[in-house]
Amino acid sequence: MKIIKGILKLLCLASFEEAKEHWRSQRETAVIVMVLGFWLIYQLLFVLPSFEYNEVLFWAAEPLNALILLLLSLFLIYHAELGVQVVIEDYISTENVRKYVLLLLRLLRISVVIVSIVSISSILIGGGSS
Amino acid sequence: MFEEINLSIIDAIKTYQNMNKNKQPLSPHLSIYRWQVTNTLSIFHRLSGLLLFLAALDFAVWLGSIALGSGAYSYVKGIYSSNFLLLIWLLVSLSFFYHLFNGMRHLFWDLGKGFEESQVKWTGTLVILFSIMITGLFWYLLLGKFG
Repeated sequence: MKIIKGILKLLCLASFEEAKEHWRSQRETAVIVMVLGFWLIYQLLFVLPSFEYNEVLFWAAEPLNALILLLLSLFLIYHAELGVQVVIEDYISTENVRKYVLLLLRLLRISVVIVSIVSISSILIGGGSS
Repeated sequence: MFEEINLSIIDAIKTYQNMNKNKQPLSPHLSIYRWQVTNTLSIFHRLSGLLLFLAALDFAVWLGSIALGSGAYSYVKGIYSSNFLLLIWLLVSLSFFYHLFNGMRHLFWDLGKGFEESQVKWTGTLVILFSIMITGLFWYLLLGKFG
């Protein structure tokens, strides 16, 4: 049950988190983004041969790389949403405005989740449309 | 004596509230803060986080362009490697390393460690030095590799 709830949260299929739950998630995602972020830096500096399309596609289509890229994107935007949520709650005092800005934040995150999943799947299946 | 102090605090709060009639006070109160190392670092943590949020959007756009094909990829690559955007990436990388190192400091605090005033100050200074140094090293290696 706990793992299913975690997956739903990662996919942005759960409501905004509050208080203790928010605090925990922010720290857990922080550690995960830290590890995956180091992976990306390592890949950019020492693995990816160039930014030419074919090279990047070949690199991203490697199943393990594709999986980590997807996880990185999902955890990154999850952690980012948790943080921006607090900034919005701290600085936007008008309740109506706050509601709409939080909604905008949600829409941005949902877009990122959808784009990431569709892109990585398509890269894995078709290897891009050349 | 304590009553007097209390009264002056209440006065200050009242004055502040009158300045912002019909508005909730903003929290944290940036405009009435005494600026020092500790709160400056804390605010940088938020600012760098906001910038990194935008970078997370760009990362998804980059992934999308890889999936769409070489046309879309070259288009995005063209924009992303413009001089202006390179300056932004420099700022993003600095924010990334700063947020990373300062985040570690926050995690230690959450474990109840490093709370002494002297510790807070030297770890803060270390975070600034480290993030600048690692950003420099990162770009040195990156430019060495990709020119």
